[in-house]
Amino acid sequence: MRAFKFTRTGGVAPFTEVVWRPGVWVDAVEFPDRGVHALRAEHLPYWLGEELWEVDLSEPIVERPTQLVASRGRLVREVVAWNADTRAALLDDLVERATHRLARADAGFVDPGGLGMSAPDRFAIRRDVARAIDLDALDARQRALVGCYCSVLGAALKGFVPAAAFIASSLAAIEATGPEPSDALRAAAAEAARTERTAQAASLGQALGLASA
Amino acid sequence: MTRALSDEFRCQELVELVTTYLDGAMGIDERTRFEQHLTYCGGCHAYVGQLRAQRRVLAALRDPPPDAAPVDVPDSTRATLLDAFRAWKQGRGE
Repeated sequence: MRAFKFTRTGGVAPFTEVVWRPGVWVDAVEFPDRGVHALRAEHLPYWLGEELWEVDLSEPIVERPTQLVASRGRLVREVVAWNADTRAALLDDLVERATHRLARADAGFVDPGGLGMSAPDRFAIRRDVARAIDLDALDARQRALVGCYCSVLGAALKGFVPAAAFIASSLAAIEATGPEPSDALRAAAAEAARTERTAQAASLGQALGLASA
Repeated sequence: MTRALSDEFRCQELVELVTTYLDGAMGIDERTRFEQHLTYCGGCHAYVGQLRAQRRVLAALRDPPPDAAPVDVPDSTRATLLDAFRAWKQGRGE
């Protein structure tokens, strides 16, 4: 089966630190509990890393919510489209969605005319805009949204793509349920976060020209 | 630091469970959540990396190669270390 895998630079697995070489099979330590991990296209936003590879997986393969687990796998070719341009495209897309979430919250932070600005431009003005906001006038949900939004911008500006993507999913959860959801609402928060991850995967898949594995 | 809104790991949870993770004693669901946290949290990623490196160094000290020469600590260094340790212990009131 063809799938994807993120590694550190040089094909180094991010957690086991096993060095993967193109074309060389890597066997699971213990299948399925410590199997070879790989991804479908929709899983990519959860595991963003430095290098993206197409991989071949051997059966049996276990499907998990955010990953595939196989008995062995090998790198086929690097997805060279995962580069500075596609990282920037992913960031712009998720910042755009985050900005709309904040605009919907009516927290006085986003000038609707400013929607569509790039992340760096938005970051540059955020302090000036923040000074103009009376935080005391906001409720807990609005304050959480403003804080989380600033974190998305900060991570995006610094190029911390995995962090920006995660915080954007948290922003979606806060929009859905508030910052401290009750037990009854936690499922709704998780669902909102997953929906944002799905949007990120769609954006990424389009930028990379990937078909879902 | 990150706040858990749903089923995400928090940094504090990660710190509490890092030994279980490094020992390979974590179940697959928990390990997945743990590793997802490492993907986006630079601080925890660095922390786990430091602990992993520390373990490697300690393992090498515990199991020196058979042909390794014994390491002699100079008396002056030994005295300095002992003094520092005693001062630290006194400072803790023990």
